[in-house]
Amino acid sequence: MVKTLEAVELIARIKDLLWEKKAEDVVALDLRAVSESLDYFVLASATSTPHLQALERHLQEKLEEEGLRPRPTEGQSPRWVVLDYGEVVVHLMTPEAREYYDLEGFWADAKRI
Amino acid sequence: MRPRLSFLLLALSLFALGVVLSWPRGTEERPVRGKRVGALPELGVVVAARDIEYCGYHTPCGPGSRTDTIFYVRLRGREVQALAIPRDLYSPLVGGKINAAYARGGAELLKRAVEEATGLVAERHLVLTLGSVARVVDAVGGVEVHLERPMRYTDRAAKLFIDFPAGRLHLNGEEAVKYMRFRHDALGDYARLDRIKGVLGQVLKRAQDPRTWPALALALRETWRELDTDLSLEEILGYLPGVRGLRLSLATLPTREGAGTFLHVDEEARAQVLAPFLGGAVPSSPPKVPVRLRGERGLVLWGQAFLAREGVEAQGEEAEVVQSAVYAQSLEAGSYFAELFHLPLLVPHRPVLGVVVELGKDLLQ
Repeated sequence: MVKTLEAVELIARIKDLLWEKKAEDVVALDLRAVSESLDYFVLASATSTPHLQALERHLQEKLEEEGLRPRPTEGQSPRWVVLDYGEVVVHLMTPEAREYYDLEGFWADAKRI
Repeated sequence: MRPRLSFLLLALSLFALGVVLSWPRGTEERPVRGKRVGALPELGVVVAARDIEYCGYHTPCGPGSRTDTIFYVRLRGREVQALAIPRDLYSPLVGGKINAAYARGGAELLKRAVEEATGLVAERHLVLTLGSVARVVDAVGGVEVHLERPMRYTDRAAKLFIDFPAGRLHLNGEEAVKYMRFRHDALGDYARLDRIKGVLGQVLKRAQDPRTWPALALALRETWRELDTDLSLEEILGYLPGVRGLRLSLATLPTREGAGTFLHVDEEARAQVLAPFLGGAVPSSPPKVPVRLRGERGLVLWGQAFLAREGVEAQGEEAEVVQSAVYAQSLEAGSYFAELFHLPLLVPHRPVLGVVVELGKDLLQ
C-alpha cells in the first residue's frame, strides 16, 4: 500500500532527524494491529527541556522544508511534546516523562519498526 | 530438652523459609515492569463538582461545600459507565438532599449516600472544583455545542453571567462551565445533567487524541492540589494513554417527584437502568426499536446504508450536529448502536423515541 510505504519512509526520515540532534532511545511503534485508530508512534527522549525544544524545532523546520506541517496540538508541556503528522505521531519526552507515561508499556504488543 | 529441640527446629525451619522467600528470583520470573494493556482497573468512583462559596456580596472565596453535580462512574476494562444523580434527590442517610452530603459529612458521607441511592459500590471519590473542570476542558481544546435558543442568565451575587447566542458555539473551559451550570429552562436540573453529559462525552473523546495528552497531563498536575480525592495523581496520569478506546455510556438515575422539591429514587426504573452497570452485555443482534439518523444528508445516507447491512431500516433526518453520539432511553438498545458506530451512548432525561444516532462532521476527522 502506498500509504504504508509513505508512512514508513516518513518514520525513517523522522528517526534520522532525531538522531542528528542526538535524541536518545528512538523507537517507532506500529500500532495498527493493536489500536482501532492509531497508526504509528515515534518515541524519543531528550536529555533536558532545552534539548526537547531543540528536537521539536529541528524536526518541525526540516520537515516543513519538505512540505510537511504537523496538525495543531492543544497545549505545550515542558516534559512532553507531540507532533502529529497524520498517521505518524511523534512523542518527544524527557526521560522521566517517558518512563512515567510508559507509552511502550501500554502498547507492549505493538510491533517495533 | 524435648520442647527446646522442637523450638529450635521450628526456629530453623522459619529461618529456612525466610531465606527461600527472600532469595532473588530468576529474571524470567521477576516482573520487570507491570505490563499494561491499556485497560483501566475496575473501580467505582463518585465524581462530584463543588459550587462556589460566597463570603459576602460579590465576594467568592473559593470552592463551596455543596456538590450540585454528582456522578457515579464505573470503570470496567474498556467501559466507562456514568450515572448522573439529580441534586434534589432525597437521601435518608443525609437527612436531606444529596447535594448537602459533602457539606455535612465530607467525601465519606457523599460516597455512602451515592451507594444508598444507586445500590452500587463506590470505592473512591473525586471532588472537583469548577476551576479544575474549566482547566481540563481548555486542555482538550474546548467543546462544541449547539443551542436551539439563546442562553441568558445573570446572577450578580454568584457572579454568574451567561449570555450565549443560539446556534453552533465553540466554548472554552470557563464558558463550558457556565453552560453546564445553567439550569433555568423548562427541564431545570435534568436538562443541566444532559448538558453535562454532552460535555463529558466530548471531553473524553478529545482526551483520546494523543495530541491532547501533554496538555491534559499538565492540567491535571496543576489542578490536582485543589481536588479532594483518594485517587493518586500517579495512578491517573499513568493510565492517561489508556483512555484510548474507552467506551462511554452516560445515564441519569431515574427519580420520581416527592413532597416539596425532593426527588426519590424510582426503584423499578432504577433496576432497568442499572442492569448494564452490573455487567449487562451488549445485545448480539439489532434490538427491535425505531432508529433515526440525524446529521448532514451525506452522513445520513452513509449511516442508512451502513445499518441496512445489519438488517436495520433507519429513518433519516437532516440536522445540524456538532458532536456524534447515540441517544436512547434504553441503555440496552442504545449500547448495541453505540458499539456499532463506536460512539458514546448518552441516555438523556428528555424523551427519545427508540434510538437516535447523531452523525456529525467529527466522524470524518
